[in-house]
This record gives sequence, C-alpha cells and structure tokens, in this order.
Amino acid sequence: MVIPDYYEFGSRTHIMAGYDALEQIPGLLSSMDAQNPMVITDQGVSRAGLVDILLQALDSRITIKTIQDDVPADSDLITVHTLAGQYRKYGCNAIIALGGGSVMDTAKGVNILVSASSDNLLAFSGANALTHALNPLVAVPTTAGTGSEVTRVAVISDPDNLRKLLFTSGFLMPDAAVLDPRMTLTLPAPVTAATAMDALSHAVEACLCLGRNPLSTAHAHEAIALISQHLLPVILQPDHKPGRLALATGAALAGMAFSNSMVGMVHTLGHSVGSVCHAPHGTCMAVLLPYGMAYNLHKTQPLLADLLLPMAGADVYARTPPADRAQKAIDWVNRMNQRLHQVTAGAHAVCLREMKSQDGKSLVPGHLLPKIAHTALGDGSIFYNPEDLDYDDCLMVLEAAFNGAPLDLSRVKKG
Amino acid sequence: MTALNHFLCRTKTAFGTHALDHLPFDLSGMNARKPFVITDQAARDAGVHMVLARACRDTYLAPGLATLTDAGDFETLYHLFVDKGYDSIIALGTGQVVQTAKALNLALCLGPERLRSPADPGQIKGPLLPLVYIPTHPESGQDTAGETSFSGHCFVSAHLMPDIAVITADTMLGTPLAAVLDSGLSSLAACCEVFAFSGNPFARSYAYAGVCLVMDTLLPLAQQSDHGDLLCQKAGKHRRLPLAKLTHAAAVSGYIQSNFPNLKTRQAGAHITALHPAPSATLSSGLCMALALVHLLENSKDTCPWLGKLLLPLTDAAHYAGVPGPGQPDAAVRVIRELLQALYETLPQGMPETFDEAGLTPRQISEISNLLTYAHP
Ligand SMILES: [Fe+2]
Repeated sequence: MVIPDYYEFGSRTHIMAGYDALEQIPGLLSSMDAQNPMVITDQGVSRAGLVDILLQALDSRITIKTIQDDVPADSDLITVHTLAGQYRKYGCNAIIALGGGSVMDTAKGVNILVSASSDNLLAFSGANALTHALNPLVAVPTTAGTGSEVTRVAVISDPDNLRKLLFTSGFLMPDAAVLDPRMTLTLPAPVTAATAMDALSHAVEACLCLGRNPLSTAHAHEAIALISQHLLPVILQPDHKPGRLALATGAALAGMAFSNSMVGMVHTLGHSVGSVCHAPHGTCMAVLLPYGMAYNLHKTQPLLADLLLPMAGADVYARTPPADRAQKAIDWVNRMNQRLHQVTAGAHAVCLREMKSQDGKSLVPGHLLPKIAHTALGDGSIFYNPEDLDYDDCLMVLEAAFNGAPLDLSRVKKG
Repeated sequence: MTALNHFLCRTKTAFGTHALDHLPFDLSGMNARKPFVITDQAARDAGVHMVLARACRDTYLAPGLATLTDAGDFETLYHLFVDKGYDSIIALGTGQVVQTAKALNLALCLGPERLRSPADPGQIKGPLLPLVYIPTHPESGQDTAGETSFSGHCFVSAHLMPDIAVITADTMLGTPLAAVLDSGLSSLAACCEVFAFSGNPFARSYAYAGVCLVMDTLLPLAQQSDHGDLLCQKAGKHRRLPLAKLTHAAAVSGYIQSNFPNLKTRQAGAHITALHPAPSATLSSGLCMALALVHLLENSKDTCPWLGKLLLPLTDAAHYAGVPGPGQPDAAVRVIRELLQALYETLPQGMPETFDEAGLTPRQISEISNLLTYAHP
C-alpha cells in the first residue's frame, strides 16, 4: 500500500442503505431533534410518484411542513432564496432533499441561508466560508450517480451574472443519506447507464488522480465492483431491487472516494463539454472515461492494472498477464460502453458525435471542440490529473472522443 | 448486501508528515480559536506538545495546555476550561487523555451532573464542542470510537467520536513491543471480522484499509524492536512512520467498532481478559482478539460468503486472484496464522498460540467457542 505524504479522508454523512431505508427517516430526524421537515424536490421526481412513496414510508410518524417541487434542472440563486423563504414561512427545522444533483445542490444552498439566518448566499460562496454546522439535512437521491448525497460541494448558478457559484465546506455534507432502491426503480435505461458511468468515473478518477489515498481507493474499489457487477443486469431487469440498491450504494461510495481525493481529466473535459454544449454530465463521463484512462496510462499503469480486479473479477485478472492488465481495464470500460449502447438501442452514446438531444439534434457539434478544449484549461480538476494537459492535448483527446477513435498514445506529451 | 446497511463515521482522518500544519485551518473551519490541549506526562516529557505549539505559532490560535496526572484532575480541568473561556478540546495523547477529553466534552455540553449516571445514548444529541485527537501511540480503537468511560460509567454516542484525528509520525512516541502487538492485533481482528462477516460496503471499505495498514507495518515493527523502547522517549525516526500507520489502523478499527459494537472478537477478548484479571504482557486483549479471530474464521470457513475475499487485503491482488476461489478461505486463515507465528518468534518469552496455551480450561474454551459463531446472512 503506497501512502502519500499527507492526506485527509472524512465523510460524516450517516448512511442508511436498504430496502426500507426510507422508513428510517423519522428516526433519523428525531435523533437530530428535527420534527418539522420541508421536502425539496422537482417536478420530474414528483410526477414519477416518488414523493408519494416517500410520504407513504414516513407514514404519520412525522409531519411534513411543506413540499416544494419547483427545483429547476440547473439549481439557481432565485430558487434557493425562494425556498429559504418558504422554509421560514412554514417554520421548518430540517430539509429532506429528494432528487438528483440539482435538488441536492438547491437544498444545500437553502440550508446555508436558513441555518445562518441570512439572505445573501453569495457571502458563503467559495471554499470553507461556513464555520458552523447547518440545520439537519437528509438526502434521498433518486439517481445513482452524482454522489452529492455525501459530498461537501454545491454548485448554484447565478444566471444574472452568467456564472456558476461553487460552495465547498465539510458542513455541506448532508447529515444523512438514505439510499432506497424504490427511488430508482423507474429510472429509464439510458439515464441509469449514464448516471452509473458518472459514478464509475468518480471511482476510477479517485484511484488515479494525484489526490488519491488509501481510504479513497478502498471506497472506490468497492464502488467499482458494485457498479461493474450490477449495471448491465439492472438495465436488462430495471425493477431488480438488489441491483438498484447496489448501484445506489456504489454511487455513494464513489462520491465519498472522489470528494476526498478529487478527480482528473475525465471531469476536466466533461465539465467543459457540459458547460459549452449543455450536454448531460453522465454521458460525457461515459464517453470520456476510457480516454482519460488511456491518456494517463504511462503514469498510472499499476493503478489501472489494480482496477481490473474490481471491474472484471478475479478470474479475468488472474488470466491476464500483469503487463496487460492496465490496458485490459481500459478495454473493459470501452466494452461496457458498447454493451450499454446495444442494450439501450443506441440511446447510450459511445462518442461525443453521437450525443443527441431529445429532439434528435447533435448536442456536441464538432466545430465547438476548440472552444471546449479552451474552457477545459480553466477547470480546477486539471491540477489533479496525473499527466499535464495543455490545449493541444485537450483538443487531441476531444477529437478522438468525438469520433470514437482510439487515442494515439504516441501523441501524448509526456511530462 | 444485507437488508439495511448503515454507517456513520464523524471523524475526519488527517494522516501524514506535517499533518499538524493543517490543524489551524481545520480549527478555524469549526470556529475554534481557543483550544484546550490535554496531554499526559509522557508526551510532555518527550516534548511532543512543542510540535503542536510550533504548528499553532503565528496563527490566530491561542491554545492552553493541561497535563493529566491523576483522576482527581477532572474537576480542575473542567473549571479551567470554563474560567478561561476555551472553545474546543485537543487530546494530545492516547488512552486516558482521550477518555478524559471526551468526558470533559460531555460535562461541558450537557452539564457535569450528567457524568454521574450512565446516559441513555439517544439523549446525547450533540453536536458537542470540537474535539481533535492527536495520538502518540497506537491503541485499541477506543480513542476514535463513539464511547467513553468515566467513573465506572460508559457513555456511548457517535457525537463522542473526535471531529478530526491528526495522525502523524511527528507526534509518535516510542512504544513497547507488547503495546504495539496489542494494538496491531486488536485492529487486525476488528477489521478482519467486519470484512469477512459484514456485507456492508461502507464498513468493508474502512476495514479493507485497516487490514492493509496492519499487514504493512506490524511484523516489520516487531522485527526491528529492540525491547529497549521506553514509553517516554521519542521514537526513533525509522520507527515513527510505521507506528503512525499502525495508529491509523487503530483509528480505523475505532470507527468500525463504533458501528459494530458487538464484534465477536471483541466480546471474546473481553471475556478472556476477565478470566485473567491481571493479564500479562503476553496475553493482551489484542492477542486474545487475534486468537478469537482465528477461531471464528475456522468455525465459519464453509459458511461465510466473504471470508475468501479477506485474502485480498491480507496479501495483494495478484496473490488473491492466483488462489482459486474455493481455496481462498483456507489461504486467508493461513496468512493470519503465519503472521501470528512470525510475531511469536520476535518475542523472546514467546506468546500463547492457542487458547489452551493461554491457560484456559476446556470449559472456558468451550464458553468462548460458543461466543465465536455467527448467524450467517
Ligand atoms: Fe461526475
């Protein structure tokens, strides 16, 4: 075990994962003396009937003061301020966040305002601007991907100033994360695939990036094993509860791993594809993951080789000659993308060129690749990538990922 | 996975060289400016408090220092804290220092009268004052667990876990071999038991790291021990890093024990210790736990679904994958037996290798054996 000179690992969110995890919420809230929660969610979650399932599970053991289901796809300042007003109006003392990344981010933002009795979220943006514990927040994820239910980060957009505000603090970690397979049973196959590949990319990057450490790697390997074993079976049998629970657990473990290690170029490039083209984050991650692994191959060979074990299992690992294991792990991710492409009837894209919006338009036009490469240079995660990246390298990787072509490793500038 | 997995670790682990340099930043993040440092005479004699003082120099921190001498100190500490207006606690030391720091935290937040009766764990709703733990020795995991005992009462709550465990070679003191073995074997037993018998992936991740840390450090430390290591001397440089890693493993085993308060190896260890009211250095509770672990694993080789996988953290990926699945449980138990054997050889006076050699009667062994079975998932 290689231990870095210095590292930190902390994840103080109380995890409840199980088939009746939702039923644990009243007990969790009462252990925090918080009997008057507000539910924050979005219309999609509400329409999918998940709010009803939650309320049924809570039974009458707790009084929900108000249910706010207007969170937009991209959480923004106005929503946060409005919901903080509702929290106060209804005399709430806790939040149950039911949804995906945007709902989690919004709930974290609302919790900052109501806990600090403030009306100015901007005052808390940046790193470690919070110095006191926030009010109780219970996160119930309805996708198995982002890991925001255990992370210390919130991203909230400020549309008036065309910017995204980043909040990081240990106090932003939710008090509890409730992982219940009933919340993801009805997720469509392409969303299940993309979000799981996002989680997989968190775990893989946690193992490779410069901030890696023994505890984040242990969590990441466990996540990779769960996602690898259960993703395809769940796509084929969407209502398989143990598989859904395993994917939700894998996503949370991956979240704990990367929030203690950071990520690398897969996210560097993926963030900028997302911000330039408004392309869904999970699909960007799925497409870019094997490219990020290949680009860093010469710097992370043993680490990549280690990934083959949780990905493909002991038999494949033992049968593969040691020198080939790293490449085999990259091939495994490529093959997983191809299988997902097949079983989703092409909805899961395997290259950037293939990514389409709901009305069938190309989401990532080729002429934007230079702009994406340029934007990538400003992303914080670039510093944690094992190999240095400049504009030419970013563009080279993006072009290969655009066409689904193998990366020409001889063109990687080795630092 | 089992029906409901829950896991809570309130402690952030900060490990490594110069880890103390990050402490002022972390304390400011918890709005703590005036920490009350509790330490013991051994740490003080070795000058470890000066390492902490250096890290606080030129920062906004205004720490105060108290050295624990005997149990009668508690009232003094309490009044000192209140009178001087401290806002957080740093436990610089291991064992008694940490138990006192936790009890002080309870007294400060819930009132000193609460320490006179065992509290219903549900009643400690926290959060308590910021508590930083800076160990000077590897220990048994009690320091980072959410529990403390004070005046014969045991208090249990996750809020008693330290907020941060700063584990660094810079504060490690020389530790007698017996204490090193006690800590390493107790961490190994707790982490192996959870890894082999729990399907909880959150706990298994910590347990995995804990097993690796012990396997990396315990035997080399024992082999280089010269038996002359005095408790109050600063450990030699070459020994400080492995001691810190072993302390890291102990911290991890404490996180695990907080979540699994009924570990069989721990129960059996306590049972054996109770049978030997004055345990000798050769029959520490860590060794009892390790003997119990071997017994437990042997009992469950055919029924425990995750036992074979234990071979992975005990060895490495190549070794694990090279052993065919059905042979893995045996191989895992063999690795632990071989480790114990190699450890015995480092001790001139030897160590018991079985319950029998430990002096237990057949009736006692059968009692313990009954403790060491699992109802399998
Ligand atoms: Fe991501």
